[in-house]
Amino acid sequence: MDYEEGKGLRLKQVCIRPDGVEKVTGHLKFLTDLSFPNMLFAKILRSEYPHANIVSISTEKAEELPGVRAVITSKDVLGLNGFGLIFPDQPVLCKDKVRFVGDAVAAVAAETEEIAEAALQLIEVEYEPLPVVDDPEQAMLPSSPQLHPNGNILHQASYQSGNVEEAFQSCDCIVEETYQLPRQMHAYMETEGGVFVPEKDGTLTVYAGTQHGYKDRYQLARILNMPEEDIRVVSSPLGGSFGGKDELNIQPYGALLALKTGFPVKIHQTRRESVRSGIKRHPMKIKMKTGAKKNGKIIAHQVRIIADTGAYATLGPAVLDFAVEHATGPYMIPNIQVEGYSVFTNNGVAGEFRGFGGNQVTFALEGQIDRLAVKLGMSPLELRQKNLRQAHDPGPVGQKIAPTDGAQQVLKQISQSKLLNSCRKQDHNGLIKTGVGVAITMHGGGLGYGRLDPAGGRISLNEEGKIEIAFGFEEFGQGLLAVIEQIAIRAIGCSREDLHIVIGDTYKVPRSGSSTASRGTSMVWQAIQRMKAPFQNSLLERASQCTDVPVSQLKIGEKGVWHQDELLISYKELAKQTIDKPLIIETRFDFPATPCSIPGGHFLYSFAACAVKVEVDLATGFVRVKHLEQAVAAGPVIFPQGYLGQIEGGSVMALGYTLTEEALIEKGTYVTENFDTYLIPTIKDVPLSIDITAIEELCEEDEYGPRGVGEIGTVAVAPAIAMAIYDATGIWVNKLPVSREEIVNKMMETEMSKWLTSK
Amino acid sequence: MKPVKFDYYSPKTVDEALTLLEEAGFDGKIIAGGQSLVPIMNMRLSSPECLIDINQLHDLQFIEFDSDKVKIGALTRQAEVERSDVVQKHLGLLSEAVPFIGHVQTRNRGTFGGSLVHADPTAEIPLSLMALGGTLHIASKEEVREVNVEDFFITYLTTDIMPNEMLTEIHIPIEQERNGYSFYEISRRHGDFALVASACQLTIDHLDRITNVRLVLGGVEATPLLIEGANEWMNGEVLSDSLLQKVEDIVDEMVDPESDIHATAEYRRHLSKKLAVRTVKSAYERARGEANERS
Repeated sequence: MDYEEGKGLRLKQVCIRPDGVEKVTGHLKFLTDLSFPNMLFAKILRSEYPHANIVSISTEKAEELPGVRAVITSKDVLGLNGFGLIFPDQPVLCKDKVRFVGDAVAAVAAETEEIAEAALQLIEVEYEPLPVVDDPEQAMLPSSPQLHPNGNILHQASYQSGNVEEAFQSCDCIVEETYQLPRQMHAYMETEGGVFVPEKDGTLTVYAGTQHGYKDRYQLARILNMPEEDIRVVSSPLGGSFGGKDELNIQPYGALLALKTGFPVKIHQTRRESVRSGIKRHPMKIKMKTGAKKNGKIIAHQVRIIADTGAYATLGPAVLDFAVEHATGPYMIPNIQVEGYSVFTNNGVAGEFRGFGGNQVTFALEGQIDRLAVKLGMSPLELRQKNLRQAHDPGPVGQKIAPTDGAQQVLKQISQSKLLNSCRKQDHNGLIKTGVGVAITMHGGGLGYGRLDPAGGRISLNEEGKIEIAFGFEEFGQGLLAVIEQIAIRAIGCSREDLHIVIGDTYKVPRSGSSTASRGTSMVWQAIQRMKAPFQNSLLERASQCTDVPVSQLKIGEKGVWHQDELLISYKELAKQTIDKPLIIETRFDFPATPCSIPGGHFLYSFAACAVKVEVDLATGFVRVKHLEQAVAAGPVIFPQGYLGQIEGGSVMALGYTLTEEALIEKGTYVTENFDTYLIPTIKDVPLSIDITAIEELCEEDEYGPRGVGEIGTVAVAPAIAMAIYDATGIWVNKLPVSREEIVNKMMETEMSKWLTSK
Repeated sequence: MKPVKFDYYSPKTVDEALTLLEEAGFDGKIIAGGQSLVPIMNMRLSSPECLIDINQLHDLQFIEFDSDKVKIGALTRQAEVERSDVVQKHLGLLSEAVPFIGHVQTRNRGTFGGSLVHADPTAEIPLSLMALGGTLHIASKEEVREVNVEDFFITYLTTDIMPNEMLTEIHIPIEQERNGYSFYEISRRHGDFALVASACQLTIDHLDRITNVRLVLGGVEATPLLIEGANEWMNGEVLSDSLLQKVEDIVDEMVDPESDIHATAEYRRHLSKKLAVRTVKSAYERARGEANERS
């Protein structure tokens, strides 16, 4: 392996990201920055109601408005009027019914954005409002209005081992709690948008960000009734996604309007439109009952998850499967019963989001462990240690997984944190209390058992003499280009200047699967390991043929192939001399999956432990996270700044999730429509220090290399903060975001209220 | 969005600015730092036909110490107030309050006078000035009149200033006796509008008895709420638990906050009481010379 060097100091190394300079100088063109001659602008008319029948739609007045070039409704959808990564149940344009306030009813292309906006006002839609289904538990009742032909339960998932009911009988200590998790918004800087260009040869080029260009192409082909090959999807770079742009969003409207008008069409949603139509993290209500023996051995764990999946399926079923799988986390518990329901409501649409259901269940699970520890009079770290998985234990749903010490490694590392034993400052006569908390998590990578999860890549020596590395992955800020560059340089032995990296264009790249599920880094590494030897061998053979120097004396290096410390033949020259038989190496394989037939069950996991120190002001309920540490076990570090960026950024995203962020919906309508009411942390709200430790060692038998760290940094933060709040105040938090008012109210109910009077 | 069309003038003197104001009447609007006005215009909540940019009136940009008072020009940037030694030495309350305003970037542009005439009920400078006391100098073509801060704020975003007038400078008295101050604010995030803010300025005699107190709450009424009559029951008293309890009770009686998406009325009421007590206590400790470092 290439990664023995480093260890420990790795995160302090500085490399320059290939897309870094262009991004920080503002020169990089995102796809929503593109313009084409004679380009039109489109706007989408979304539903006025969270739930209604459409009685009639009249577009005549809008069509007559000067400057309007096309108005489309459901009858203009050329193929399938539906999309969705799993089931295409979300209408592109609603015909007779709307199920959430983001449902599209019509779309307009006009000469200017203003005319398009004005035209929307002229479209007359007559609705017949229906009762709003806004509570998932109510929605599960047969008496509730049914949103879809198969009822309101989108998906049900469960896992069982042993016998929990019996086991609870012999527990010395049982904790039973209900946890409520909020609807978080991805809050990417670049809202959904792109340009759609009808080409002269009848094909269509789509310039719109996504996390999987080929999947967009597949979905669009169904909607447009066009062969997939006639659609070119250019899908990178994106100004952020976090899972939020994996599903189709504005693409169908841009594509239909471009084909109808014959002109390029641009759409770029406003923030308000983005909030209203975009997917969010699943709000979940999680009931957990967990029992242990006096000695701290947890023997029974019962979980019931209800996820509010909103109006359409998108990845709702997979998110629920993930939550069910991760409901036991890294603990070995003999008796487990988990059941989960993903339920349709009129509350927006919930779908893919960094952490993918793991954040919600980990908050609940780690909350259980901390409550048990307090009840048992045991240190929370000790209780975790007693129940923690070992390297060769099966996965959380009993499946075979790659051996891993990750759980032990991160717990050991975080136990040594200075933060946990640091001094506790008090202020305002003891009204400001300090507390610390720790939480850990394990997180599956890849899509899991039974899901199509292909990967692949291509290395070639192109005509310009560059070593071209091509992947069907996307760059949405996570640092994928830097990862590809670092892995390729180290594997092949060339310099960064010799490389040409190609991503995000279905006309140019091989199929690599989606840039999701923390799989990008993993799949790039595995693909390049597979292609490395054939490529090097072939390159050296060609160099040997061109120069008559035996392969054994040649070495791949900067600018070309070297012989005895001298550049013998440049890549450019080599490309020129072998132009009639181009050197192309391709690979195709699947993300490693568990052999056990558990839908969505994972094989490769990464681990994180988080420790925080918080200050809580008893008088105001104000919680300030002062310091945060994370230990992450995800294999070798490829690109240090990218790794740090993911874990630090993930920590801050999770801080928002814990303390301020909630996309509030009342009776199916968003209350928080912009960043004046949806509050993401600012630079002044983040901890004074965030320290990250990367644990790079893998088990000896683990041949799978580095794992992606896109999600893992977001998972363990919320429960650590909740524990720290308890440590500071004696108040347990069961609901996020943490309500200051609730802290104050609970404080007044306890004997700590004496602190408040006259202080 | 972008603002509707407007005429733009950049007068070089106060006199020129006042003439333009007189001519523009109700259609005119002064712009200085623009930190509130520009967003309001961009969102088209306001569409003045004529903008009079006073950024060239450097005569209005000063902080001066003058025996028993400090004079601050209306165009003085909030950041200048924040960094001023004179303010630090004589008007500690302002030094403590100004960092709560927005962010460094907005304080570099936003002006001291602009915050006063904008009169947002949650804003830090109006609240602090109400606690410090002082007079506002308001000029028109005809005259320069002086208004006490207590008479300046009328209601939400509305002050005593007439369309043909502009604020030129503010005079703030300096306490000579043993005095202390405190400012405290709670917002959902740093830099956001305050849910509740409290400012207190008080003086004590050699026996630590309160001789004068001004306690003000922001975010609970349409204008900064001066707890009137506080002198009547606090003067002559040494700080005690029962006195602080009375502060809480009186504040409870006087405030009538509203609920919105950021906080319920009940929580604002609670914060009003706790912040009032906290600022009184902290100001008193400062007056006695007990250092009270903020975390």
